[in-house]
Amino acid sequence: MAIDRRQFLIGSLVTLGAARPAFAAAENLGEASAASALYASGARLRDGSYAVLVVAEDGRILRRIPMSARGHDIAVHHASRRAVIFARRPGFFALAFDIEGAREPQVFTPPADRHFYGHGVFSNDGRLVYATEHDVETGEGVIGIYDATGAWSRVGEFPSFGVGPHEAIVMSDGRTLAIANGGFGNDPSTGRESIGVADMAPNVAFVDVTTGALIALQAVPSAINLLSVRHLVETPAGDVWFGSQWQGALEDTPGLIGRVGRDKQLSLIEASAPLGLALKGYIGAVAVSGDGRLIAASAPLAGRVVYADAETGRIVHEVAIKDSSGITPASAAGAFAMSTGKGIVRLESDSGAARQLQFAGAEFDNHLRRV
Amino acid sequence: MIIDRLSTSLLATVLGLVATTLAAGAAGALPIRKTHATMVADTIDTFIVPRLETFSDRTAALATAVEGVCKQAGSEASRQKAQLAFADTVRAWGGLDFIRFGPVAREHRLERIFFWPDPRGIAFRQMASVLAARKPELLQPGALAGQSVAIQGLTALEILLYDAKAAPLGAGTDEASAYRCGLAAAIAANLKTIAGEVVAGWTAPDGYRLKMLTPGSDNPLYKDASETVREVMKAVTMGLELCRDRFIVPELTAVTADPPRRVRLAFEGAGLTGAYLKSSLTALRDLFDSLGLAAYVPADKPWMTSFLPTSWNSLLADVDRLDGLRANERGSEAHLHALRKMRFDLSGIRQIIVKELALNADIDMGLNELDGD
Repeated sequence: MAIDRRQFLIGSLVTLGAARPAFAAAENLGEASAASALYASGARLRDGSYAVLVVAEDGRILRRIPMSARGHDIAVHHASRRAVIFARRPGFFALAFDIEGAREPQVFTPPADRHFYGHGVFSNDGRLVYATEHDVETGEGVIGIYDATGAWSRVGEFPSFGVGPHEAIVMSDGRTLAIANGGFGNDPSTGRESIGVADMAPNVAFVDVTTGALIALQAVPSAINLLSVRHLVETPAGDVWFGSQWQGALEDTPGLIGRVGRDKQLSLIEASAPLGLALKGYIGAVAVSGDGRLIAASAPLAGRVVYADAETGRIVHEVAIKDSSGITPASAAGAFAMSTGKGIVRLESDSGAARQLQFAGAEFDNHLRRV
Repeated sequence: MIIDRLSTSLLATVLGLVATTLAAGAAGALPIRKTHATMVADTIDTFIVPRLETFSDRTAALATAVEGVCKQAGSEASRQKAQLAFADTVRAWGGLDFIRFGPVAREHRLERIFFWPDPRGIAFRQMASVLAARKPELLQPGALAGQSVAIQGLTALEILLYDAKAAPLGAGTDEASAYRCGLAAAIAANLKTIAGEVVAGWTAPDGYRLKMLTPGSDNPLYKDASETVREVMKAVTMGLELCRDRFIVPELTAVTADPPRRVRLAFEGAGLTGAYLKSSLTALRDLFDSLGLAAYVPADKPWMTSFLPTSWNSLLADVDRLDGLRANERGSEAHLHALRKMRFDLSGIRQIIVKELALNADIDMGLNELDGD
């Protein structure tokens, strides 16, 4: 993948002009969209610069929009073909882009006393984006509300009801925001080093987005308070599944994957062997298959992706894949697309049928989204 | 399976030497290329365990010295001795704080030894509360272990030993002064206990050392040497990142802000910021050497052979100037240059280790594995 270094001007706030050349790569996007499923992910490129990439299931890179720093997750509004990639924690920018390349990307930032945690989500009608943020002064988590209809101005916020909110998802009722409060914070002055690990009190909070009121809060039991709940996905049946990262010693790792609900306390998958230890205490992302049968969780430290039955929680399939973190439903029923830091996107069903794509010169970052 | 430390070490060394001799002979290259198992064994036996033992010794001396301050009514000599012992302990920990796997990861020992970062000054606030409440039970042996991590270790002890606004530690005969000194002694004793636990956790017959030296299908933690060596390599990259993110970037950001800001750095109160950073950098270079990574410079990139020692030397030269520049020329061109140069060298070394040397040593650490979220 030849990349003109000049495209990668440092500083997202000044890259809008420079982003235009990348549109040239998207000339056939409409055609490609019709023919092949599309995915988006943040990536590090061969020259060390960062970008968000839109790739097709047929192996082409369709769009490449430069960023000044690593991106994390991508919020997608499928109906309007728009997406937003958030800088990872402590993040100071988000980049909104049009999946079809119809409009120029727009950068927006959190207020000076906030930083992003790398995740956000569109409201179902596409008019708002809810971003997980950190209040630098108090250390508390907040949900920043951004106007997605125009200039991406910040129009409000409400508490996340915890510290270190990571992924938040709008549930199928369109009104409830499920928030994974990871339990520890960061400070912009010290980068990514965790603050307050010993006193972590992670939870999954369910909040009414119309009022900002707490509907329910499901706390991680104090005996395993170092279990940082990070990533969430809702199944068609209405269950919320989560993936966690253990902040304690490897040998003490509990299960990492589980289920929670407004009326259900957190419960972890119980496997025949200690699953948390086998997955090296770390889940990078979770996804539900298009047919709703399966949950997939990536474990990049262990080089594995596990598929679980969404009803029983039983592990039904495993994929050995190095440095895979991004996971999202693929176009085939019961299949997932998983991306790796080695530039691979692998499409694999629970039967083991697989196809692997190699994107030379790209190291895919933490999350992959079907767009 | 009980294997004593010496025999395990010898076995690993012999196996490593055989492998490395064969490899070196085949390649006709001079530098010895260590196997993964040898890298890990050498790291544990020549770096981690000896440094932990030194740290443990330093905390023991610190506990004695702080106790001496209280017994000698805060004489100047006793306070100086305690401050020297504190500095020795800080230096010892600076060379270890990036080893975050193993026994230090249990029971919040990492945060209990050194509560940092602390951007909202929690340690100050909690120490003020504890001093105001003067609960005698907190001074009982072992009592602090169950308290907030912020008041258990070096951060808390620094406040008591170096708070210029308070009366010198040990001076004064009133109840508040006595409690303050007693608390300092209890914290120092607590550090000694924690350090002892970490050493024991590594060196016990079934300790973490053995777990790392004997990976296998019957080892729930590590299946093979590729897993253990990754643990060590991740500590190296973490150490480089900690140096950059704790000391260089915050200061660079603060002095270049408009208007420039102050930022509190680790061990600033004790005047040990530079000493701590230097310990970390020196230790990282030692760890780099003990891993034998220089032997894995790719044949087509010989420039790295000189770049790496030059960068390490540059870092150690710059860190020697940093405290002085910060105190006397904060924000000057010389200060900014030193900070930027250190950031460059830290990033450059990290990049070469991850992208070149480790890869060449068949230690492939991906973007997400190394630093995901």
